[in-house]
Amino acid sequence: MYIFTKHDKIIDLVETNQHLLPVINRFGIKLGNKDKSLEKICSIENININFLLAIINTFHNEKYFPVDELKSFSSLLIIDYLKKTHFHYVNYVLPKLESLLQQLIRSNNTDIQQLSIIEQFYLKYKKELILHVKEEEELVFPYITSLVKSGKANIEYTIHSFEKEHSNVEVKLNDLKSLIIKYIEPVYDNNICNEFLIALYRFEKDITDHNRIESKILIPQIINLESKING
Amino acid sequence: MDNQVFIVHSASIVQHGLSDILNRSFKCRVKSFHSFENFKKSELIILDNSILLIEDIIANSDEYINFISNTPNIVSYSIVSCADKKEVQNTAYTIHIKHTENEIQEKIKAEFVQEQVAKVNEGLSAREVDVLKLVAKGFANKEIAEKLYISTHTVMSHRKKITEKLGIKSISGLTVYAVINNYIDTKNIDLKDLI
Repeated sequence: MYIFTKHDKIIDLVETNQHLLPVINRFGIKLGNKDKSLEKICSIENININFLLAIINTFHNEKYFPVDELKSFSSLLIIDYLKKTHFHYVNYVLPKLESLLQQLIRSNNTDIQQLSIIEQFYLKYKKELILHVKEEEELVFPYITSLVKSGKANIEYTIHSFEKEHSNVEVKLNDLKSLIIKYIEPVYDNNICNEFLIALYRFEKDITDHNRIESKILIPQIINLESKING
Repeated sequence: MDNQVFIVHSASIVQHGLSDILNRSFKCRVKSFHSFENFKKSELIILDNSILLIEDIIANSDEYINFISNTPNIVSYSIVSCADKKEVQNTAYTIHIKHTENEIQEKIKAEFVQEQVAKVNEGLSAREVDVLKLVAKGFANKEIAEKLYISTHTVMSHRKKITEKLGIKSISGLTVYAVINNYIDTKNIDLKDLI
């Protein structure tokens, strides 16, 4: 298991794990940095290098999850990162999945309509995910921000009410994969289906990482803060 | 690996009796508890293919239902004492304390060869299909129990098995499975409402 350090370059990251590309983008880092180290890039772009390293290392290694170190970062920094992942999901990943699913449906020349049932399922999943993102952006994150900045809540809310919803979104994504891989008639173009599945797996990994940061780092931080404030 | 079996029953005589029968019939490790609270307090690691034998009164508690819904790797049987033995003879996931040793073995032996069975037989049993159809139509566990004349506990055990066999957890996902396998007639239903 390789742990990235501040001396690594972008090309080291990408050569090791291409899925880190969208992750560094979320920090505002683009390509074309010649041979600059991560440390150098972060100082130019005004990015917290330790936070960047913590995020890319936990994303890259499923088993690497330094809870204490991650908890030492400001909740606001974590929220900023989570918001950028939301933006990536809603504006890039979901439209991409949808377009692949449409292509998949069009590639079917038979009378078998199972794919349109899969589409219904996908649309329901997407609706729930967007609702979940919206709740976080409009309710949970503003609540946390006001709690951190002013030491008091601006709305009636506690973080406990938030914890449940999460797993449902992951469960449905997993069911979608099972249905396609195991049960529906393969009356479609294989290459498009493969592309769709690979995109689903990649998204699942990203969303698992995202949820892990929320449930293991952000929520405990806020529960801690709430209990301090409420004495 | 040996199956893990947990017995949760307030009567020591039932605990010891069941434990004795199981140890003589199967390769397993049995642990007994007097109450559900004690069982949960023990914070044991629940391995895959674990079996829980639980007193019927406890099996109806919310705490138990909550636990069992969140523990996918355990299959549970309720231990009934008051109903007529004949009534539960053919009820899945239910053991009567007056069952003979052979009857108890027959009831739960499937769990002990489960690994091999699951791989060969991926199909659902007729009863599981009945439950799946109703789940897909959006009925709650309690309603399904009433319709099929079985206990809520039994419905939940069936649902666990269905999810385990199919690899599908969500209700919408199970509905999709039921539709593509023609278990439910979709002519008169709008799929958008169902999924």
